[in-house]
Order: sequence, then structure tokens, then C-alpha cells
Amino acid sequence: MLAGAAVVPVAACDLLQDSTPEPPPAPSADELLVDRLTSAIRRTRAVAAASAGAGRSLVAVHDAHLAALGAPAPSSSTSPTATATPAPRTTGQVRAAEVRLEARLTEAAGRAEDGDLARLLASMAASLAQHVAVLPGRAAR
Amino acid sequence: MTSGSPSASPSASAEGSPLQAALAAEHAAVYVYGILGGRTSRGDAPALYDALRSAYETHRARRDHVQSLVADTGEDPVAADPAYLTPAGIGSANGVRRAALDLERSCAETYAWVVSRTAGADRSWAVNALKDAAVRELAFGGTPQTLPGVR
Repeated sequence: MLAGAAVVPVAACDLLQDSTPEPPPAPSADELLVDRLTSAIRRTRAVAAASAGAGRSLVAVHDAHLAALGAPAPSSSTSPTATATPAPRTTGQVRAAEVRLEARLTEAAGRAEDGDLARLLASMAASLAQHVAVLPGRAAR
Repeated sequence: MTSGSPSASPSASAEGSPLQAALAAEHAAVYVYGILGGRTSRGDAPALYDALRSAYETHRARRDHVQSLVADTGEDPVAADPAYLTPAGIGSANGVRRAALDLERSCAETYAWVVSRTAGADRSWAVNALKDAAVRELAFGGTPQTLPGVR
């Protein structure tokens, strides 16, 4: 009897422990880095998407880069609840945004802890450097 | 005699360190650009000539730089091979352009690999070398890629 009484509380305690969700592990430095870069790529993509000219070709590049980072690309369809259409962006504005993102990716490639992630980020920066070089209005570097 | 293009599998050809792989790639690039420049007329193809000259000078400076980086680690810098295979089909300006494009693509692959295996200042240097190779591809008829240097 005593033995049985002793077992019950222990079992209940185990049940309580099992039902308590484990706190999610803290994101790693690389996961935080990817999160921040994903946001930056989405912002830059929005600038390219609002371009009427050659800058629009960069939307597909950004979508591919988001996919490589494991992030879904933003929907290209216009939401019916959207209240404002983004102002058209000039090629110069697109270039400035791409150059900023390239610098950010370059810096992130140097900081990534995982070597394969560093390679991916460096390659993405190199891709943007190529695309910026062929944007009209300025001689290639 | 070694292939004129830096190896696409640097780990197989390098003598250990990523910097040695970069140095081996730069030895090959300097050699091949010397050949390509010798096949190009400044009068007939001035833009190509200038692009080849710029590439040659950049790779030579980078070779010297990475050589000193390797020496600073206490390793013996890998030496250049006595000769490299001359790229095929370089009897015309288009052929030279194509060979230079292949060379820069191989360098981009090498530097992407070096990026993945280094840290700190060495990695930052390799990132910039990758970007330079990627942009230089455009001078030889290349088009922007989604992930240059990564297959």
C-alpha cells in the first residue's frame, strides 16, 4: 500500500513533465544572420519589383537567393486589400539598393560560422555585383 | 604539364591549405593570361587586349599576395608548374575570349571553395577575389549568374 501510494505521485509528476513543452532552442548566430538577410533581400526585391526598367530582372535573382536560404519568395500577386501601390523606382534607386545588399552579403559572408553558408552568401554577393555591373546607365566595373 | 584552368576540385589538387589552392589557381591564371595576351592584337581587338592586360595584372598581384600569405603561415608556397596546357581554340579573338571566360569561372569556383574553408581576413580576401572573378567574366562575354562559383 505504501509502495503504491509512493508510485502514484511520481507517475503524475512524470506526466506533468512530459506535457510541458520544451522551450525552443535559441537560434544560432547563423540562423539569426539568415533571418536578417532574408528581410534585407525582401526589401531590396521590393525596390526591384517597383522598377519599370531593367531592374525588374533582379526580382528573379532575389527569389532564387531567398530559395537558396530556405525562405519563400513573396507572392507576386497584388493583394486586394493593398491600399497603396509602391512608387516606381528608377534604375539609380535599384542600383543603390542592390549595392547596399551586396555589401551586406559580403560582410555576412565574412561572419558566417558555417563554411557552406559563407560560400553561399559570397556567391550571392558576387551575383549582385555582376547584375549591378550590367545595369544601364553606368559603365561596368 | 598541368591543365591551364585552375582545378574545379581544388581539394584534389591543393597541397593541404585553401590558400595553397588559391595560389595554384593564380599560378595557372598568370600563365594562361600571358599566353592569351600574346595571341591578341592590340590594334585589332583593343577592348579584349585591355581586358586581358587588366586580368593579367590583377592575377599577378593576387598571386604575389597569396604567396606572401602562405609564407606567413610557415608553409612553403606551392610553386608554379613548369608549363600548363594551352587552352584549345585560341586562334581567334572569340576563342581567346572563351578561354578567358573559362579561366575566370574556374577561379570563381576556386575562390568560392576557399571561402568555405577559411575564416577572418583570409575569408574576406577570398570573398572579394570571388566577386572580382565573377565581374571579370562579363568582360569576356559572360552573363550574370544566380550563384557564380557555385555549381
